[in-house]
Amino acid sequence: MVNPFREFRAYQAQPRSLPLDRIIAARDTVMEQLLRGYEQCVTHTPLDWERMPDLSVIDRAYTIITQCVAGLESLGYTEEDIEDFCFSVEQMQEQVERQTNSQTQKQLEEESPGLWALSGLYLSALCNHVSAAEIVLPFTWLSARLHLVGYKLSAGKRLRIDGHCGDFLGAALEGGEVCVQGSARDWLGCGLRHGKITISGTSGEETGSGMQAGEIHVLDGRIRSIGQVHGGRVYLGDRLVAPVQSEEEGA
Amino acid sequence: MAEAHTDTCQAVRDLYDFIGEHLYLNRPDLDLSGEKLNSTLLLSLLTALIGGKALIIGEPGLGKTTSAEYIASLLYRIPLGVIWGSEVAGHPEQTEEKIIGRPDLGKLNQGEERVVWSNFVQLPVKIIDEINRLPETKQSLILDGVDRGNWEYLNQLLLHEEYCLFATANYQDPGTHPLIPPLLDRFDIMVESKHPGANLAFFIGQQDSKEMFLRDPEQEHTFYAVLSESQTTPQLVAQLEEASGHFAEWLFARHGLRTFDKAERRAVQAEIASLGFSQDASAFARTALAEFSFCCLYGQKRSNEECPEGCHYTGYLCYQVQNCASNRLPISLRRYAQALAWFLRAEQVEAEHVRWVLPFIVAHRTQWRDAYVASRERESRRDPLPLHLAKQAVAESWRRFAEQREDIMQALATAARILAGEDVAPSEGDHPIFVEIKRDLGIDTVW
Repeated sequence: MVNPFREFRAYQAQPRSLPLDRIIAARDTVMEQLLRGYEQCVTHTPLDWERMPDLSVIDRAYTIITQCVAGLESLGYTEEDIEDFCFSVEQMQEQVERQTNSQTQKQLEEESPGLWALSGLYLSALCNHVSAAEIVLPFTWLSARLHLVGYKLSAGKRLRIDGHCGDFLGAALEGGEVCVQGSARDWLGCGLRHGKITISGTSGEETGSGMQAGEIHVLDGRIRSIGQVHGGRVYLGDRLVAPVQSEEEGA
Repeated sequence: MAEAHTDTCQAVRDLYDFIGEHLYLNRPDLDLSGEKLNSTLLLSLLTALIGGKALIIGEPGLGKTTSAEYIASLLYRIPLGVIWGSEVAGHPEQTEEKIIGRPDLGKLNQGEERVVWSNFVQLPVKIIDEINRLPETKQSLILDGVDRGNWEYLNQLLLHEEYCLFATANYQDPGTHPLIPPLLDRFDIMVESKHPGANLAFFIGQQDSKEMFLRDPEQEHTFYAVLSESQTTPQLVAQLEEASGHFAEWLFARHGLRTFDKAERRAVQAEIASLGFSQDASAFARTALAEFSFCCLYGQKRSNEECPEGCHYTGYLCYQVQNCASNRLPISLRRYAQALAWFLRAEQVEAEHVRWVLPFIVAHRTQWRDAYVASRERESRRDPLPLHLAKQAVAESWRRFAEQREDIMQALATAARILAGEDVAPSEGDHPIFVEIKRDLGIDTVW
């Protein structure tokens, strides 16, 4: 029988490529690199959580992570990739949950605090290296709280966080603005040098400890305790709570 | 080989330019990859080159016959006066004896049955002027001759190795008759000789007669002498070729034009015929052919059957056409797509070449549903309605092919593998070509 199709026998279909597919593929590549960088940072960066709140320990860890993130700049990742990365952290968290059999949020955070600190530091480094001025971090669905988010956020950048944060939020802030729709745990704004932190919920122990300038605003919740504030101001609602004003100054 | 092609192609392009600049002045109406050309002149030239059959329609006096005469004269090296003397005019009193041949009465008196062939059938290039003035019954007389170039009279047969036909037709008037579908189908292409526009028309009116460009009475006498001699076909062809050679020298000396002898024409035809189709070109041709022949309900289009309302394929051309594409259609498509690709110096026939020639190949062959004609006849256009409908239809089919190209190509490739014995499932798709492919694989769905 005649094969009227024989001229097409060697035809190889080109993989169909829609614009959306290309965008997704490009973003997948970026995300893959960000995750690989994250894995390296988490694996190779020493961070002794027992020595907290030693800022020099944090700074050494941040320096290593910054070098790693600087190598990712050629990827041209955007603030949206950072946002997507937060969801990947969520997946990673589920793996940790399965490995540690953690039953509660408290348990989960206590199992490996260094991991959540390094996650926060990595996110901070990504935010400090991206060109966008405003970055959104969706933490609403994270059951564990990331530490050290917004570390050394530089001037001109604004970090908006939806959800709760762990310890050392906005630590060593360098002029950036951190705005949280949620609460933060201990050492909020620790070593803050310049900039502004606003949280809608409650802050934990040692709020503003070692801060030298800038402002911390706790809007609707409460502050469990204020740390040693060297400079700058801490507000609870409209009320200035640090430095403590004398009655005459207040009047 | 490539150099020879360039040479020959350039010679054909020189002929196109010469006719377009001196003899048949008209506006370009085709834009082929940025090259602006006149469809009537280009397709008539290609018709003469490949030995095709062209129907040229148009208003009286707009160059239908003269364009064919000039092209016939130059491509076949025959003086214009001889072309005139070999034309058949369509009129109700036309007879087989005037068109084809008559008994040699002198010989008949001596008891010998011999045919005196008409000039029309003896020359390789033929022109029928105003073919639609022939009544339907007379049109049937020339069906076989038009189709194959074989002319038969009194049990004698005149066969030509080369054969090319031009027919002209005016638009419908009280003296015309509809061309019967079998005759229409025998024409490879249909073009319209358009009005050149007021400015060119005025310019044409200012020019002297152009007839002497291609006339040499002395050589015409020689031709007529050859044609009037009773001789066998090989003798006739040889003597005509000799006379043509002299006329070619005259053309070259007078106009610097290079023309082709019979062997060169055959070589060009072989070269054109050797051009292959790209896979895209082949797939698009199949896709379009499916739309002109497919019917999900009745198996194929038939001119006496009409698609029912609410058919799944309402959006395809098969719903809009009434008749089925004949097997002559893909032959015409191949030959003219190859010729166009050759003229444009392409390495092979691409889908674009198919798209460009297809409207001229389906325009006269397709009978459309009345509702489809009614929906489009008032559209703004530059072409006569049949050509406009064909161009719109091909554009629709082209769009569908562009959208489904990968799937169609994949379906064809899968079908090739299935027929080669591989155990794979045929591709599915909405276009009629997918159903046609499945039918070829022996999978037919009864609707």
